Amino acid sequence: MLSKINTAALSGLNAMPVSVETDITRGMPGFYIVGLADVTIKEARERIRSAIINSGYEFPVERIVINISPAYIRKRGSYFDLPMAMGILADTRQIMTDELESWGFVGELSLDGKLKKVDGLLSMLMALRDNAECRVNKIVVPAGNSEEAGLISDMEVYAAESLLEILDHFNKNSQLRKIVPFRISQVNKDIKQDFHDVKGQEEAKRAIMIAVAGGHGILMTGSPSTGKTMLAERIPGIMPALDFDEILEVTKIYSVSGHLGEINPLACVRPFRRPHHKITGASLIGGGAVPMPGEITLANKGVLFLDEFGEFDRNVIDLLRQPLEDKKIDISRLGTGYTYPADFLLVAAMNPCKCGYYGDEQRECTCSPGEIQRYRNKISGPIMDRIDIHIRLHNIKYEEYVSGSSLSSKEMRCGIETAKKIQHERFTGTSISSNGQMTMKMIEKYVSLGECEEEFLKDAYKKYILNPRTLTKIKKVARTIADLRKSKNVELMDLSEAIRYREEGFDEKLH
Amino acid sequence: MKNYIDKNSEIYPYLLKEISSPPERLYYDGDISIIENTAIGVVGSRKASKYGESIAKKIGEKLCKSEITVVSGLAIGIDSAAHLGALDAGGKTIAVLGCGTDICYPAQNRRLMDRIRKEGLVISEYPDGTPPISYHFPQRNRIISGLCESTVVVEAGRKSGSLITAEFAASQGRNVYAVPGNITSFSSFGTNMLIRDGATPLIVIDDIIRDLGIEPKADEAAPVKLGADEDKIFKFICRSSEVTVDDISRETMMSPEKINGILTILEIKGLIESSLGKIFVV
Repeated sequence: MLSKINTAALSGLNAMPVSVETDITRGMPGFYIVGLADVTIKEARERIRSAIINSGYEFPVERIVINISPAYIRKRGSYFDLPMAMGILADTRQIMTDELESWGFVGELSLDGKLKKVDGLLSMLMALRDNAECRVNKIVVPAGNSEEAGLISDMEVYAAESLLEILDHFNKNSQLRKIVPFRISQVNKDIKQDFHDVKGQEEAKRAIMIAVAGGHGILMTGSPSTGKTMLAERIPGIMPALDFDEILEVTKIYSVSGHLGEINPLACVRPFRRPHHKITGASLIGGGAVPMPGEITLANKGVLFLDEFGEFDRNVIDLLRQPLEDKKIDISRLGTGYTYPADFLLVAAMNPCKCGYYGDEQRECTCSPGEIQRYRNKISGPIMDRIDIHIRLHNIKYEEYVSGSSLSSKEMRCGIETAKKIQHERFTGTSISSNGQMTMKMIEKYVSLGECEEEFLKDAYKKYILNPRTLTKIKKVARTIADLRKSKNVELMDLSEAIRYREEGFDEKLH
Repeated sequence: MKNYIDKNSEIYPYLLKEISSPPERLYYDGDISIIENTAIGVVGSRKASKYGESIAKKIGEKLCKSEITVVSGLAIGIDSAAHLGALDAGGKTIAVLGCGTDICYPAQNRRLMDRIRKEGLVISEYPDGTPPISYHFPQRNRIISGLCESTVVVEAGRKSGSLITAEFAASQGRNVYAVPGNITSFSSFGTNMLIRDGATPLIVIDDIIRDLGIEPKADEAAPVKLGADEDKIFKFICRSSEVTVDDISRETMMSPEKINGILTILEIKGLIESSLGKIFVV
């Protein structure tokens, strides 16, 4: 006898349909698993055996061979437990059904037969749904994965607590619970951390609003306790809410990397990632034999906050160059190439110098002039070039701290949504979506300046010792500022404001 | 090629000869005739604020317009700004080094040094090839003050080397000016201290020139026209030395975006400067 059970295997962020073939024959009792399976899968033997017996069914004392096909692809993970158990039970005629062909199974078993939550389920469900050759239209998943599985429509998805529940379903003793599809309206859109809580720093908030609206990287420089982290944490809240496709994409990433839990079964809010400055290159961009998504992929559609920007290893920071440009990262491992999305907003914060108080009003900086320069030079030029907005934060004065008026996240989000909509219309049909990504050609097209503006830029060029690169950044930022006030043309005041957000170079002071 | 003058040389400045230990020889690079000009020393901290730098530059410019040579030490910060102000105004400047005149120290001032060699004068009491040794620098400060009728200290922290120059100037019987700063400002602590100890506070740059008995040339710059909002912001900055955008916003009730737009315009008009997020009047 031979049985075939459908399931899926993960590879990077994506999955592919595979089938678990079980053959039970007479001979020396044994249990063999083939098909480039790793140790977790081989260890499944003991789990499956106990789970079947503890569910009150019989484990055959015969020669069992399981092949996970296609056999040439490396497979790993505990989610093959359930399909393998189902294969054995089907082959020994302990399941009374003939429609297993249209069913798929995913899940890890514990010794008592309980079904445990698995990582990467969403990718597997998508693979089973989207693959043309695969005929699966009903699928059983662990109850712990219910919320995630609810994102999949056009498929009947059932949640099971244990192996016994599944067997009862097929043997017509009881029915499995069908998962309720997710509805976007059930997402809580409340802003947890409001910009209103940040007193003073109105200039910084304005700069952040521009950064979010146009997808411009932002660097905040300021002494300790000027509110850099507080500001950064509030940025995801003012980004437009994730739409369904984005929720799907982000949840998929978080599922594969094992970040979903009981508290956050779905990734419905914009991610905010804040890696420590000692991070290695592999954990930033993704690494491992089959690369796990790195911080930049986990920050996809959200914010990557690099605090203590000056303390990061220069080589690690340099790895951000491709993702900042392409909004994705290509990693190749063991001859296979993986492409992960990395569409994040870069928010960096740093102290102005080693001691942290250069330019501070209240405390004296103890660094030597050389030390200050060296600290600044630690950040690689090419990365600085990819950060469009630079701001300086100040200590909050008491009057500012107690003053009531303060821009709120809601107001900021409202303006941002308008600007995003304008950009969406502008860039429909192109490969980009925001002003921050404009190429030289696009800048020429979308930032057309009048005579008065050109004259102004000419003066500014001389006064601030700009170069073509800084000028490009100023134009991009000015475009976003104009979008924020719903203007078709970029006007003098837009440029004038954009110039305030340029990088203040050390050599700009003189020469 | 002989590139030094000694104490007996005709061109050796008499002011320098007056001091207690005048250098035996002065090695030079550039136009040595500049050394006979009326000169004023402009010195200050290496870790200067942009306010200090812009003042130093302005002093350099003003002195040159009245044909006074600017003497300084080619250090980064105030010294560089003073040299640059003089050069940009088409005037003469002398850099006094603490190493051989063939060595550029600090290295990042290479461009400035090359310019001074060409358009001004670089001197040192040390022969070519002498490396920049730390104890040379206090020594060369006596030459800076010695060459000049007066010395201006623009910005100095608590332990700045320019305080040594001021001390030399005072003991040589020359005028010492100090640019006053906020008493809360770390970079003006030294200069404020000098004022307490008897230096002349520099309130108007032209005073230095007048005290030499020269009538300063008036600025021919036309008054700049300002719009209502520009004027409002500019007046507030004038009233309150250093401010941030948030300060202006609170005072004028204008939005930060509007203020930022106006600030750039004021800056291009040359009325204000900004550095490290702070805005001040030039």
